[in-house]
Amino acid sequence: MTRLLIIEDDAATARELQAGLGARGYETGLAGSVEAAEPLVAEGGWDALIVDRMLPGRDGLGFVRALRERDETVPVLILTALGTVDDRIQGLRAGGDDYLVKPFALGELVARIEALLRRPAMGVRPVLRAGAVELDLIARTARRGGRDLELLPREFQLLEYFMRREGQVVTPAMLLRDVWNYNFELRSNLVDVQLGRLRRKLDRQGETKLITNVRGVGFVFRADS
Amino acid sequence: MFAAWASSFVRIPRGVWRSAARFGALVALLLALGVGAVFGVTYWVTTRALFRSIDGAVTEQLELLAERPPEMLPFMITSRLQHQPAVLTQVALFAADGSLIVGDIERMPAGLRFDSRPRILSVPTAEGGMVRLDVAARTLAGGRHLVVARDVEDLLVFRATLTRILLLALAACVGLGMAAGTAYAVRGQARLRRLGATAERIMLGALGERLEVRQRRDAMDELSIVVNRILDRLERLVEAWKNAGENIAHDLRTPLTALRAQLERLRDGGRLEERDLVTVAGSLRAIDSIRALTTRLLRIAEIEHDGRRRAFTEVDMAGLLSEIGEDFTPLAEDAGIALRVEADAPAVVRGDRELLAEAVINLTENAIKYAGHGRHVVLEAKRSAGRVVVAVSDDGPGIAPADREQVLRRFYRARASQGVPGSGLGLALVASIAGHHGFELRLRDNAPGCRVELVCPVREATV
Repeated sequence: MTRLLIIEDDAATARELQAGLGARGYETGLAGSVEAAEPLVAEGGWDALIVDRMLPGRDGLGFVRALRERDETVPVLILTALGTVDDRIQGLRAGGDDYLVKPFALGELVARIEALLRRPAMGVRPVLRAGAVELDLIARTARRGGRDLELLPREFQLLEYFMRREGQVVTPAMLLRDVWNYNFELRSNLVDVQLGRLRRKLDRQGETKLITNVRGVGFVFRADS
Repeated sequence: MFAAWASSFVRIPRGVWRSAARFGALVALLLALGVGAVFGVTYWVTTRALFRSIDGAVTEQLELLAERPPEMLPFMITSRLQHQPAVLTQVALFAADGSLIVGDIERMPAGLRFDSRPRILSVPTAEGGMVRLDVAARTLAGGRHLVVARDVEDLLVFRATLTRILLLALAACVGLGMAAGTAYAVRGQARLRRLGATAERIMLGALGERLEVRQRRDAMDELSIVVNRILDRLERLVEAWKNAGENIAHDLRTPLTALRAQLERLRDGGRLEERDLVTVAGSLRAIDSIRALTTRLLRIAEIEHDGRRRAFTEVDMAGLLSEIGEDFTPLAEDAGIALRVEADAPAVVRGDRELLAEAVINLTENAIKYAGHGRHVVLEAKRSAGRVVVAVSDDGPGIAPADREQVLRRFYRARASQGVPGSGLGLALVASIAGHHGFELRLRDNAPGCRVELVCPVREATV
């Protein structure tokens, strides 16, 4: 069972996080401050830490920085109510692996945690394969079965991102940040529209849908057998 | 030191020189009037006194001799010539026909008037030259003419020299006054320009900067000190305001997180009717739009009050527009809109690439949202002398002229657009990004439709 330590001072938020994550099959621990968290972290056995940035007493960023100075490699997801660009940069510099702005959908939190737990294999393989889909990263060509896929550059990047995270839930916010490099929110449904185009090129009639929606959260890529 | 001072003048624009030269001319004029008055009085007093005393001597001599008995006169003149040869005045007695009886004036000068009044006449000399004499004459009983003269050639030369010297000195004073006045005005204006430049930087967000105050405290320094105090206070207020904004966002977002999670738990619990599920979904959307609003507000605050120009690099707006055009073409097509990019490659400006992308994307999203089915949206980057103009235009309903100013303000949404969802902060965000870069944001009538321009000044070297 995956064990997550939540370090959050707001009791209501902490309770809801514990309830929501518990319902999704995670085991959770809770600390209301950095002081309370330290002995728990020292015990070890956590798969990931969820750290609120602003905590009473010692602040969450300092805690993460100290953690990294001790060469603790446990993945850290920072929660913040601020969410400006500078703020995010500070969080990542301190050693956070990801950064989530409050309020967030629980599904988004879970997707981010899963992404942290299964850091994609960023190997230097020149060809990615998932089922019948083949992506040649050097020639920038894509095939499904024996069929060439005519992908625009952005569609190619999208498909590559999904294939590297096979079976993992990907949220629109993750796509905007990692594929488009936009660290700001859009008002339009750009992601949905682009993904729709990719899907139409990917799936012919009668073929399995490779990228499916996860209701209220995002999308997942599953290779056909 | 002087070289630095002089070279600082080289960069001064012509407008400054012109107004400084006007000030210099005024100084020169006043100086000329003052110095001219002093010189005039000196000249008048000196030359008048000299000529008066000579006139006096000549008249006195004439009167003295005229009073002597006529038969004694030739003898007196002769003995005077014999005994006082070094005396400055010349005396002669002419017969009625003009021939010399006795005296040291060879010939009766032409133009002589016999009214005892001294006047200056040019008289030929024995050597063939001319000499100027102060001459007085009168006719005695029996028709004889008594003439008294004094050589004033040296004196006249002196007077001419004095005049030249005074005029030269006056010219020098005028020149010096002009130069000093201009230099003073240029320095004053150069200082004003420096103050202006600092104020400009402060306006663009460098709230930590202060106006220069010199050791010599003149009125301008006193003013700078007051302005600096205002800036100190302003900086503290902005800091407090920024903190308050962040605190509000924080305080708002934390309970929203709990609220959102509760609603999600309710939704996923499986005990709600379909009708309740719709309500919960609506609540979740409302929470997300509050979140988007606070994010955007914080973003505007961050851009406007974070004076640091982080990550300014050379950004090719043509390349950026092509990328954005490519990304948004499918979105536009779905809305039944033709999206086109017209860019002069390269159109390089200095800026923060991500912020500029955010601005253009905002404008593009707006155009696609408001233009309407069957319309066109054009992304443009045009380079011209000293600037790059980036424009996003559409041929949709456009913005009424009365609404244009308002549209840039936070939250405001034009009346005609009510009914289309959105927080209305889009253009305000673009305006603050433009302000952060020192770019000008213009709203134009595209007849029909709306045209939003970002006017980016560029230094020629970067083009």
